[in-house]
Amino acid sequence: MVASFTVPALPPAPEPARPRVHTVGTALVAAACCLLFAALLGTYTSERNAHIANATVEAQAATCNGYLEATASTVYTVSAAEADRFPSARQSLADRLGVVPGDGAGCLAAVEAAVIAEGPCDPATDRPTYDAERSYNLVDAEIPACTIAADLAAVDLPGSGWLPAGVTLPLTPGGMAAFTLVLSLGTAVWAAWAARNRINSQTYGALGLTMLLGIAYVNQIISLYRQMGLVIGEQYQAVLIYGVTGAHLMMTVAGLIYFAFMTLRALGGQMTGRDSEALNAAAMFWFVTVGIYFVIWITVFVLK
Amino acid sequence: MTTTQTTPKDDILPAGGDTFADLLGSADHKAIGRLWIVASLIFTFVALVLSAVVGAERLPESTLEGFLGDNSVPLWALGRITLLFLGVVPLAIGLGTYVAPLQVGASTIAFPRAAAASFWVWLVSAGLVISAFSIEGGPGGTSETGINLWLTAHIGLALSLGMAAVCIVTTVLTLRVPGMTLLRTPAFAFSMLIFGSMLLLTLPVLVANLGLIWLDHSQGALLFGEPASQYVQISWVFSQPSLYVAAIPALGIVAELVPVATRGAQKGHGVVLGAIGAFGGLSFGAWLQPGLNGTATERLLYIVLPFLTVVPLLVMFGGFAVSAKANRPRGFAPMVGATLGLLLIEAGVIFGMLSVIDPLELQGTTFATAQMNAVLIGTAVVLLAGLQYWSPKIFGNVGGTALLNTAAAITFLGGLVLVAADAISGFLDQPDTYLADDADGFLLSSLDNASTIETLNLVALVGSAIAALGLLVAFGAMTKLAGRRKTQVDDNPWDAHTLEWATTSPPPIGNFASIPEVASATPLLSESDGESDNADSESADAQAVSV
Repeated sequence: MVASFTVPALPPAPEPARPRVHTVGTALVAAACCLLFAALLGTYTSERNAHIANATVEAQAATCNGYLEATASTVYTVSAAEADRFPSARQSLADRLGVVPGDGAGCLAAVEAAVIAEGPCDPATDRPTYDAERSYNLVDAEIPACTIAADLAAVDLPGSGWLPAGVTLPLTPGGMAAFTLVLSLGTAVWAAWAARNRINSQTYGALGLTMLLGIAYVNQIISLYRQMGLVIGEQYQAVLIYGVTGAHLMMTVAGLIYFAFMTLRALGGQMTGRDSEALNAAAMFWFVTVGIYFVIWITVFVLK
Repeated sequence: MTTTQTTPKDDILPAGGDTFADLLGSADHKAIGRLWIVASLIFTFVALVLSAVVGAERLPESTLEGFLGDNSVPLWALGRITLLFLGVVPLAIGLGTYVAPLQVGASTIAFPRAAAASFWVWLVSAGLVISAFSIEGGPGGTSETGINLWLTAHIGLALSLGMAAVCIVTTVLTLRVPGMTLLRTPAFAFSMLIFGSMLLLTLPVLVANLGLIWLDHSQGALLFGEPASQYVQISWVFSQPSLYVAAIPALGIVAELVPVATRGAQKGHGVVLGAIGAFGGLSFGAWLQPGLNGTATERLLYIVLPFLTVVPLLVMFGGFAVSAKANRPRGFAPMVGATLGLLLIEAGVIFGMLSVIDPLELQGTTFATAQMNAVLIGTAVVLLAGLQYWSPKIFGNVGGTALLNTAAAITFLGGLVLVAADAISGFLDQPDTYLADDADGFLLSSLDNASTIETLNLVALVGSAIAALGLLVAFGAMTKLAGRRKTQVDDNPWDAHTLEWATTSPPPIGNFASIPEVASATPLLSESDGESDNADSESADAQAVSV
């Protein structure tokens, strides 16, 4: 008689700890990319603010050199509307000019007289930041009347915005690109999960979908370029906008190449179970790529 | 305590080949490290020669003043670019690529093919940078094509150095042997971790600057691409605090040598590592951006940082003093170069403090050049000392180390003369750049104290020449060392304490025959002191994992 008994299965031996070389290396590259885009977007924001401030400076010069008369009625209309937000400052302005608030003609005459008496303003040499409230408050600091009027005039003067005339940054294509990338995040996570669980067919499918969505994103951005009407060499805003978005396109292509290599390795039988670390790293890089796009989308396309 | 047992077997770990084809295709970190070291030493020599050539233009009017004409600004910039991006930083990367994996007990560098690619991309980019300047490109150049070529090549330089930094940082972070915590990491490997990290925080911003300049310049120069403003936009890399990034490996080398000189473990090893980390953190200067903000140097942070930078150095010196007090230092040849170089670096840091004191009015004078040269040449001298220290591993020989010591001393002497002359002429208001409104260029005679400044400029030129001579001597020493590579040399001729000395000199491919395991920051010191206990024999079994 043979005794039979069941031997309990031994738990699988723990795999030795592996250095997460791909994860750390990819994280370093991703961090460097974040720094790159922080620098690009910092430059973009700085130049945009400087451009808007420059428009104010140009308006000052125009006002003090004969443009005042043509724009004065607009000036006072705008200034009155703006001044409603700052009643005391508005009264100070009126006192300074010796006019009754709401009297456009009287305002124009007072400003003209102030310009004649004090002479034209010197063009500003620095780049002041436009700040309506500050302008009102500076009335008491004996700022020449023409400067005050010009500061206010800048509110509605053409060219005081960031984008050049005739250029549009449509929200829809950028928004669709963002949606595409969000979808690709899901497929990237799916690929990493499937690889970890050794479901090869799903790994291949998810990787393919991720790359397809990435290519679709590239296509959407190129399509957006065609709609914008920005030309490098003619409008300097184009340097910054193409610089920021073009660098992101390059990062996206780098992420796609990373995924393509991982796909090839997956098709070759690698990238399964705990060997899928490199695929997880590629997914992490893709996450950072998408995150950076959202920052660009808000900074460039939404807050234009 | 140590459980190291690392002597490899010759039959299973053959030495690498020496032919050009072997070098070209090699992904062995030691071959790549040697390539970095040789190429960067050549470029450091070129940089010092360029410094002398540009300095010649500041000689008295009766001789050579203004002889460079339109090329003076690009050549002046090329000297700086070459010294930093083709000389000192790659030399540090070369040493790090060679030594850091050995120090952490790794069999290879992380991403070896990327490490090899980074060197070749860097070398090609370096050649293109030189080519761009030869066709009147470079910042402030007159050739559109030349400027575009320089910008493209400089982006290539930054990307390749960044890639090399990724490889080194990843190696130190992930490939340390069992038991080697970050606090037990050897000082040089730790300094390479900080150095690489700071490069990764700095170079992307430089790439952004260069990319925008290139994009604009190649399409009409409406915003960033104007030649006269190009250098200003990247000048933050060559001034404090970013300049100090290059000096981080030098601090690591000194911290590595002091315990060997004192024949004992570094007291407060963790504190010294922390000081290196703090020095690195304070060297982040990408926020400066003088191209976007003309008043950046008036910010409080910019004024305070140079004073804060001294603190980590003082802490390190304190740690060294404690070690020296505990164990009387011995005569140790590499310490000579390391000490001299550290003096120059310290002079550069002190210059940095002086330059932000507004009443002295040193901004925009040659004092800034003196500071840059002090830090970079001082770092080069310390790196030469490091080369001497690790020559048994790098060249398999110690025969030419005395000559390397001489090279370090000559380079130091030249650097000291150059720095002193530039610093004094900076106090006499000699402007830092040759930027001038007229075609005649910079006119020395328009300055007060012109005759004194002319004499100082001559002294500076002599200093550049002496420093370049020191590099030539270094080449001679390396040739001598490389020629004797087959000579048998002790695995640990300095009686040093860290893991790279546990393998053969030079190390074989794979570095170690088995994965070592450490339990202290100075595993070899512990072993020689007989601190190993029974745990050694226990873990000796665990280390039987073959490489």
